[in-house]
Amino acid sequence: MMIIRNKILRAAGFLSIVIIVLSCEKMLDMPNNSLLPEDKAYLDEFSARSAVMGVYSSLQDVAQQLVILGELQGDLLTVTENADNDLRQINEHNAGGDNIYADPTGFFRVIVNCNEVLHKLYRAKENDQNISDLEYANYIAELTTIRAWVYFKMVQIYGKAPYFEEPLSDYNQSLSLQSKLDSIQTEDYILDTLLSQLIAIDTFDMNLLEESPFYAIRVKKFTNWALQGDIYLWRSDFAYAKRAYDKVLNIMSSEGWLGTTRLPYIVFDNYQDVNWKTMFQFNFSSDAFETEAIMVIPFSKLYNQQHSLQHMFYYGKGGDYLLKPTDYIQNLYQAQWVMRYEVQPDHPRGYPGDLNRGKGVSYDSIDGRPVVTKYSLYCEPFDNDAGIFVYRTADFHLKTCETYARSRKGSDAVAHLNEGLLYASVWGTGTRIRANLKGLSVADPRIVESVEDIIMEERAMELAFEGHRWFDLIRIARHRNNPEYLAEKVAAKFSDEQKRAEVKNRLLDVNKWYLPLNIK
Amino acid sequence: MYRNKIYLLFQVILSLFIIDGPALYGQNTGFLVRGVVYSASTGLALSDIGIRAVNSSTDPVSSDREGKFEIRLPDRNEQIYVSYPGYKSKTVFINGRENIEVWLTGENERSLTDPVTTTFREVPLRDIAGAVDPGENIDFKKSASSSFCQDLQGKVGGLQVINRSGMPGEGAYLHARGYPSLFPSSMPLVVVDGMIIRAEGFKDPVIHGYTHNPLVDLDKRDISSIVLLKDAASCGLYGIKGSNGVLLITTTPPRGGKTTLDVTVSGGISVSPDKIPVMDAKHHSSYIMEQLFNSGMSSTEIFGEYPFLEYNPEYLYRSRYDNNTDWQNEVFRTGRLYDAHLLVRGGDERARYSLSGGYLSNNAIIKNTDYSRLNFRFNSVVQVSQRINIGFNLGYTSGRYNLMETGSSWQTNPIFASLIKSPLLTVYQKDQDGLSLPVYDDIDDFGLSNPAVIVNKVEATDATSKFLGVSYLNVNITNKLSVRAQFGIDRLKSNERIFIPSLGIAPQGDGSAERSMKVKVNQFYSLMGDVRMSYINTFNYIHDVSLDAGSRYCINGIMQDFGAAQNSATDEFKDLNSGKVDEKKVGGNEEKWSWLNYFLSANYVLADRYILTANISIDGSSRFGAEASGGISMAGYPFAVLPSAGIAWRISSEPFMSSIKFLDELKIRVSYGLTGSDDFMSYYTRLYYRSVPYYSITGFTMNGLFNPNLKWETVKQSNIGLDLAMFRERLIVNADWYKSVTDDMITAVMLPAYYGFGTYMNNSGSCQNKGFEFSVYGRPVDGTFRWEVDAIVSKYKNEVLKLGSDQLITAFTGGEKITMVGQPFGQFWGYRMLGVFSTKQEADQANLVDKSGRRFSAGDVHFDDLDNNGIINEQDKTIIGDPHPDYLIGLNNQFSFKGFSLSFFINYVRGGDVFNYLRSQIESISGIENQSSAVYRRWTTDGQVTEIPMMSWGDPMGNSRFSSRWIEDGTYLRLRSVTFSYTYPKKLAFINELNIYVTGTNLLTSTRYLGYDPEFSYADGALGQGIDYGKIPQPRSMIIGLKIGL
Repeated sequence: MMIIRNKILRAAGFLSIVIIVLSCEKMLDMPNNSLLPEDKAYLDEFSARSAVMGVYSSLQDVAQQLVILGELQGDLLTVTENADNDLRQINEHNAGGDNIYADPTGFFRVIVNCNEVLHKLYRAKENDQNISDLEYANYIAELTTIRAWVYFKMVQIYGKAPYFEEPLSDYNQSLSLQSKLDSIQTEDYILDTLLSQLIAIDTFDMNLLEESPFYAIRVKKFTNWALQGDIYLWRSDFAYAKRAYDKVLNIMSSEGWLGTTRLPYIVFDNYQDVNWKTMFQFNFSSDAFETEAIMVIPFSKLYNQQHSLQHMFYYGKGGDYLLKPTDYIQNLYQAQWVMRYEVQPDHPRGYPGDLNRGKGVSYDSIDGRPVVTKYSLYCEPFDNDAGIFVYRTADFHLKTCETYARSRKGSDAVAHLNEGLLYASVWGTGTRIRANLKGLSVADPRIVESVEDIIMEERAMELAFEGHRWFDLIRIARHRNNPEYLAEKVAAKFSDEQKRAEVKNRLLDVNKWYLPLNIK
Repeated sequence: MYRNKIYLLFQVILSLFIIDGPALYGQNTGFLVRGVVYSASTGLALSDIGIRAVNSSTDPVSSDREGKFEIRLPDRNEQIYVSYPGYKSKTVFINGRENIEVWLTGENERSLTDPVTTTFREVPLRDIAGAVDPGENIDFKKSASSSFCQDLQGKVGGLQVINRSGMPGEGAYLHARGYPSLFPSSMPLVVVDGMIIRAEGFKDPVIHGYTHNPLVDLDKRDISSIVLLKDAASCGLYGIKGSNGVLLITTTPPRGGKTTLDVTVSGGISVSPDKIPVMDAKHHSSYIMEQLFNSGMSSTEIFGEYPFLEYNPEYLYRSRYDNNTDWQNEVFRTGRLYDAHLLVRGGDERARYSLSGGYLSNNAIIKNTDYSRLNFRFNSVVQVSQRINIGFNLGYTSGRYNLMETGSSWQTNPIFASLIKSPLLTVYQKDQDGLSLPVYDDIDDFGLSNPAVIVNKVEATDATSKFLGVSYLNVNITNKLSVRAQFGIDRLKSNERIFIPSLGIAPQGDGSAERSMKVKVNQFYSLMGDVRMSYINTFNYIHDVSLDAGSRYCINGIMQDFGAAQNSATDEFKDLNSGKVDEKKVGGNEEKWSWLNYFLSANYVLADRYILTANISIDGSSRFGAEASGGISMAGYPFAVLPSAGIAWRISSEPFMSSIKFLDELKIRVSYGLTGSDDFMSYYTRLYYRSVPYYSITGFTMNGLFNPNLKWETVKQSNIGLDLAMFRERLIVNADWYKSVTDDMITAVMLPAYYGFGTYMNNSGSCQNKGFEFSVYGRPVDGTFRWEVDAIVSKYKNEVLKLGSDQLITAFTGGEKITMVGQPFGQFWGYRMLGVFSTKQEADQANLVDKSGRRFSAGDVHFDDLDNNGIINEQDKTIIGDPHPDYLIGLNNQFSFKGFSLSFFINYVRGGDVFNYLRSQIESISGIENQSSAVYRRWTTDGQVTEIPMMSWGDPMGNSRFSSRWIEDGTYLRLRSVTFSYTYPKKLAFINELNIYVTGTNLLTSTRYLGYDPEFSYADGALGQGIDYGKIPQPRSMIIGLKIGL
């Protein structure tokens, strides 16, 4: 009996020891197959690449918001009777801090993600020799450019922002940064900082992504140049803007580039006249698309990445028709003349209108209602997956014209706009030629503002509903130091007399151009 | 005296280390006790009752014909044990008394000496220092409900039981003593035969509005006892799992001896509650006309688009629109219930077993919805040697639900659809002569689903299975020291599928899903090991000591995988594979967590008068952050240390009380201690990355901010209780007052926007629950005719003391709830309706505009402009309702006469506001959908005084916004069950027991609530209550049952 008792006691003792010992092992660590802990996140070249791709994917969350803010505040897009209050407020420039389109969280999420990866990517480099110095520098440059672009957009939207480069994933650590985080930086401070970063990464070896089909959906050298030009132009710093844009104009000679593919200028063969709209097929693997797209935020129904722009714009199946084109842009398209009639056999010679880009392409009339169709070209009713351009050649091209106009080279600007005069390459052409439209002209190209006006008209038609217009209006109003320019144009979209006056008055105050930045 | 007690306590502690302690004492000369034994029910003396000493080996004696006995005991403090078949055995403390009376209660009568299952062993309620409800009021053998949890309603003090719906198997949501945490489900910990099981269902079902209920897998006929542990002294042993209370369930224990067979069968019907009156065809067609006029269409346009609105006998499709269909009739039906159970028990000294099988099939009152279940259970104990036994309790259940979507989706919720569908339309397609064709009518011109198609063609099923196995080894090392090792497994699987056809049902989602199919497979497992050592001893006759120490380790995992597809070729292709290629989605997630616990528990009873319980629990959890503070650190991991204690003073055992003859028991209990909760999202305490797609590339991104400090919630519970029994236990009262304060409550804190992730979870909250439970049992008439009453009143009051942010607003379809300091969790947050402007003058006087500057005029709702700025906007939102009930009452009466018995149970819930979402849709008067007949009273002419605003197309003024207009009082009084039963009093040939019963359920309900049923629950937890999207209402049912014991 005693022996049995001892045995049992020993067994019990053993059991309890097992339990206690086990606790020292990983009893309280419960791994999970669908989440990656930080210590396993930056181990090799795959994780480095995937971390960078994760940052790109966060751009998808802000793309739609940027399109709405860039257009609905401008003079090309307005609300229909179906629009909700948030959209109406944006349209009338009286959005409160709780307006969902004014919410900066998505922008900061991109920045926080960038900062996070920028600070931790070196671990992968240290762990894996397969990551070359160039590849690593490339990743850093991509993230820096994305970050700079988002900050620049915030400056354009809010006029200011808190600026930080530290990762915030650890909330406790972030508390020591509180005062920095809470202090709102001015536009000048932020843009100076961004420019110095962009210039630092603008070296010959970097950003030369050659792999298809990712060329168009990742940042490259041209994105950096486009962004630099954009920022300088925004600050009315035309000399520096010109320097950035000239790099592209002279690319054949300056950097010894050959061939015509993947160069950010307008190529006559690609997307000419009726084929203009095929760029909205977002055929990422075609060479032609790679010449047009400097950077696109891609979406794909097949890969479960969708926005809701088609849903918001479209009238009919799959559409809620919340937003519609203004009379101004419709009339502007209709006021154009096609040069050659052969390409439009359905219409008699001299039929007016921008048939390549206007009615039937960028917008259409469905059941008598004007409908933005730019996000439903080549789409089935519920696709909602048209890509959203960050930069494309035409935008770059017209900003080049704008720079030249402001640099007292008005006739060059007009010629470049029409037929791409300034390109060193013979392939380069202008948006007017490409769209098969009669060239634009001004009475006196020495008058900067009249040249600028036709550039703005051309920008409206070429880039309508892609999220540029409102920022274009601010930029020109800043060049001219004339709030009335902007106020007048935006107010024109309201047919209601009282509302028109109200909006105009509001926009005469420069501070009202920016949305309230609701941080807390 | 005082010093003596300390000395005694010291002695006790010393003697713990000396086995066979009492042998040292008890050498005194004998002490003679004289006594009489009576029957408590008849008052007569009982003869031939066996009496023996408990702690010493004196010769047993028995009472004589007058009930008298004499026994010589070794000590004046010894206890005697009195037992006799047909009566409850009783242990009596002699306490120095030379003459005693012993009153024995019949074995079927209620008593505080009844053994109650607690965590370690069975203990009479009178010896428990904590707050425990022994579950004696629970009687589910004759009820019609399919899940045992429903039968706890109104029968357990402090437990709120909210039936989720009238869908069989969905069961009820339970929570004890308010809500100690904000986000988790707050269900009590359910422990079956020592194994912790999962009580919550799987989250995010693909069948909208459905709640999976794992408790239904336990057949109520397999349950022998249910005990609710309520305060810290009794739940403290469960550490961070114990803050919601603990429900201890014991399944039918094996019984040796002659093999017995119990067969129970029951069957019955259930009928739907009263229909909601809606407009008939005539009213609806003129209603549509009026609305379309409002929308700006001319009559030519209207008749052009909707030609059926014009009276035109020549119209080709007239037969399709010339109906007066009662859509609710097409959806509801009479349900059928069937239930059978077989239990075999037997065995010998070496092995005993209990084997059971059950089958249940319940049809709900909505067509084509039902629940069926097949379950088996095998419980056995094997006596390996005199000191060692092993046992197995194994249960397997397979269940199948045929369901409907019952959420806020108008396309597929049959109840919702039946209310808004125009009565003009037809169920089946009709030819020109008006004859019905065999094909269902498609969606109508307004895009609304055909409710008959929903109930007949939607296929929504959940196939569930559960295995619950507990095995244990008991070793009695000595009579006083034992070791028990237990291993348990709980495995749940649920396989949800839904197919929604195209014909007759409006497209879902963004409108792209004309037909859709979804599958979700949920799996859960839990493995738990438990080793403990127990020591029980009595020293010097008056010191009863028990000590238990041990450890538990539990690992859990949930795996969920889902797939969704849509737009297959025809309505006959119903599987995922047939969906359109580029419209498929797959997904899933998994979560694992573990719990490691060490515990020590001590119980001490001194001289039958003073009871002390003390526990300490040391808990580690995989969910704690690495930097969690406030506990101790072991092997680098943080552990919570949660002590608890309770003391009780049995005043009735004091010598000075012995003269009060009618008092059987008077005990005051006080307890205080800590419990905790780790029921929060795993993977929140470290930085994790999750995978994200970027076009065709897969990347990863931050899963959010993490909080390495995140730790358990600590609940400080204090309890004062009273147990009272009088008049030979014909009146028993248990009362408890409690206050529990949750510290470190997990709450979501809003972060500045620059963090990029809106919220952050931390322990910055605090809340408090106060309340009482009062339960009375009485037997006013006792004899051949017997009347028993039991009543339970419970109340809790929940209040937020601290919240990381000023307020927390949680949105749900149709409205919002707010949680703020000084208020209970989750009150309704919206606009207050003052009335409807009856005249233009009245509206002008109020001079109100909405956010967009539109003016409220006559016929619009007058919302309260709280900030008096003339604009009705977000700033005018206020608390408009409280979904928490004021108090809960359960009242049961039972009358028995010979073999007959009649019982009726009434449940009363006072207060508890309800958001009637369905009514907000059928009284919104803003579209062409059919509306409740209440809209006949809508405002139409200037000067009309009514509470229903005017009809308005699209509701531009937001008259039907979330406001007090839709908040109703959910008070109800319900005759929950009436049972008439007859037990054949004698043996009938080979039949030992024969019982036949009839039970009616929910026969009468008194409420002012305008929906089908004031009781329902959509989601567990404090924030999930009081939102009525139109679940299947609870039916009235009538069943007849038969039990035969062989």
